[in-house]
Amino acid sequence: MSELRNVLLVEDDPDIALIATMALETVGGYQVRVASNGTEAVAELASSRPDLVLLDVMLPDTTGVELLESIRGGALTWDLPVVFMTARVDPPSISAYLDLGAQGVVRKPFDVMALPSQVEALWGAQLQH
Amino acid sequence: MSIPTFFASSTKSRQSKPKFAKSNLLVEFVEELHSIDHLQPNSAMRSALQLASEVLKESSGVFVRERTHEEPVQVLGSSHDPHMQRTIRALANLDTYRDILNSTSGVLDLPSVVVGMSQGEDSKFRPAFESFAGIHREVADVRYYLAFSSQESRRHSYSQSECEVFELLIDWLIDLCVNSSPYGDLVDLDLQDHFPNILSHISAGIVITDHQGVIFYTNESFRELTGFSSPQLTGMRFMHLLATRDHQLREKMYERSRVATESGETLTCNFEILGFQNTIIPVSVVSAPMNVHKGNSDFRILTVTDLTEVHEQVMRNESRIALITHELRTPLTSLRGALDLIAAQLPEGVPDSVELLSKIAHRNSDQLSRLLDDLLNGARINHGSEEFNFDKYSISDLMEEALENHSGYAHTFEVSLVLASHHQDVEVYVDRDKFHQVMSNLLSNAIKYSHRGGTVEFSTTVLEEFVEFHVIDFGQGIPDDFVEKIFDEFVRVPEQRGIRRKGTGLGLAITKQIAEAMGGYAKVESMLGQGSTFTVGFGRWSQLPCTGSETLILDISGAGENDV
Repeated sequence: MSELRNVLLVEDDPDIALIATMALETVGGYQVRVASNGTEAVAELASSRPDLVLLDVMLPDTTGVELLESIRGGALTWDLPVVFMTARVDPPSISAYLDLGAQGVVRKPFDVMALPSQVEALWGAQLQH
Repeated sequence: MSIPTFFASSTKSRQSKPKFAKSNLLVEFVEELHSIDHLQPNSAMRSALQLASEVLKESSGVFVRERTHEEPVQVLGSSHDPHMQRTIRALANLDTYRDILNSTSGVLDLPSVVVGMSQGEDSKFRPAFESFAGIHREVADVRYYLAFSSQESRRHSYSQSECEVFELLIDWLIDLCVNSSPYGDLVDLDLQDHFPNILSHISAGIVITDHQGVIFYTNESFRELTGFSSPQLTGMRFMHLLATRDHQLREKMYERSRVATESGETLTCNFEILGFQNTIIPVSVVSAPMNVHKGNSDFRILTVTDLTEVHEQVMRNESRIALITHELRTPLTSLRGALDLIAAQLPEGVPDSVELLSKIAHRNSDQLSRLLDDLLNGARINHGSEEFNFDKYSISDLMEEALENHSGYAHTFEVSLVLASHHQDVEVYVDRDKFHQVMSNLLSNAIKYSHRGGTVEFSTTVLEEFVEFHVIDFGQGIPDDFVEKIFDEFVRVPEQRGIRRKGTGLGLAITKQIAEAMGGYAKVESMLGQGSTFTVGFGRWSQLPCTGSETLILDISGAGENDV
């Protein structure tokens, strides 16, 4: 577990999901699985454990916050690194996300070329922790 | 007779009719006090007597005096309770507030009269009052306290006569609280003749005050607006309705209204007032002199217009902008990402035009993204949802930070950034991040619009209440017809040769909005062909104490000699 390989992306907007996937796969060289809602995300997490979860805050059937809480509550997933992707990046919101146990926040709109290294940095910081 | 600290509740019933008639209340009180033969007043009592006779001396029922440090009489109460506020103001019409926590130790060592009121068993003020030696009595479910907090009076027993004095004083207090209005007579006298029913039927709130801003008339509309009754408002200073915890702002308002009263000018202000149960009401107030004299007093008539609906409309618009902006971001995220990926994956040998078009699309999506950021930023500030963390900062620290932040940018444009003046170190009261956001807008603009090899000066002027920060460039300057509206949204000076704009047309508008949201201002002077000076003013930090939100202490001085 010393290398970031598998990322689970939870994002309901198919365009954003595709672009983020392409960025992470072609630029970063990761394996990306996409879940477009909370139910799919839970199913994906049950089938295999990713190295990191990238989580949209607003989802059709749940919120990223609720999903994070269920990840932290799961016996096999409690220690999974989770990074939020959101347009809401004012300081109070960010500190609220971090208080909930997120490893970090990626701002939307994200810089496609920088996304992989951003995610890598947050993942690396979590390892050191 | 020995009464332990804190005294047992008096058994005397307060259900009976008030002891003193309204108008003669104080006269009778002092006479009665003096009729107690074997009275050996200690210094605390003398303070109380002094307090009472001072009330008498001022026929208006208002007494404002300079506070001396030798022996202040202190009146203490809960500021959350409008009823208590009114009572305290009737007792001592003073503007000096101090946080009880900061001054409790001081209070305890000084001979002070402590007057308080608490409601309900679980009142958090109860322990504070009961830590003083004194007396309390309950009327309905309100407990009134009267205590002497001097060292001397914290003994455990009091003489018969002293206890009688306490009894009298608390009667007096309760009469003041429950029954009387010091302005009762005044209201009947003049106003009914001068202003018959007209005032009560006007839809705007009308308030008439004396020269010290003490209310003695309110019309129905004003009472409806605030939710207070006439006796609650009468005798209160209008300025005490001001809903702000910002002590400096409060002082500023006092000062403005005092100056306006002296010069007889008409004053228009927008601010928020505190209504019944602490509702916050935005109002516009026009305060005009009224040529009716009673004694030495010049009366003022205040027309109060409710701005609640106007504000709500503005809020709705702002939150709509925020919502739209947010919605626009989602497709923009995809658009920018797609363009980035295209640019990264363009194979060798594609026509130059494809590469160029891709760059144009990319550059414009960047611009759109900045525009949305700025719009959202501006909407948050106007909407009032932006949080400000005010603190005091030394101006030289702030200026050095600002210079540091922009040295790289200045270098890129080959512009030298110089600190043009250095004042004695003064502090300003600002949100540091927002301050830098403002400075960043101004400094980067100045650098951008300077000639290569030019200079941008950064200086300050220290004024009485504000510190002005000037950003001076020697660039093209702003044409006259643009100077006036340079701070408006989407106004940009037409492009000049050799200078590429990247702005959104919102930067200066936001700069001004932030400065104003922090209680400051922004302005510009410019000479075409010679350059521009942008100035922002922020409030100076002065040693004014901050207003406590929960408990207040009013100091009244001039109590008798101290024999401790």
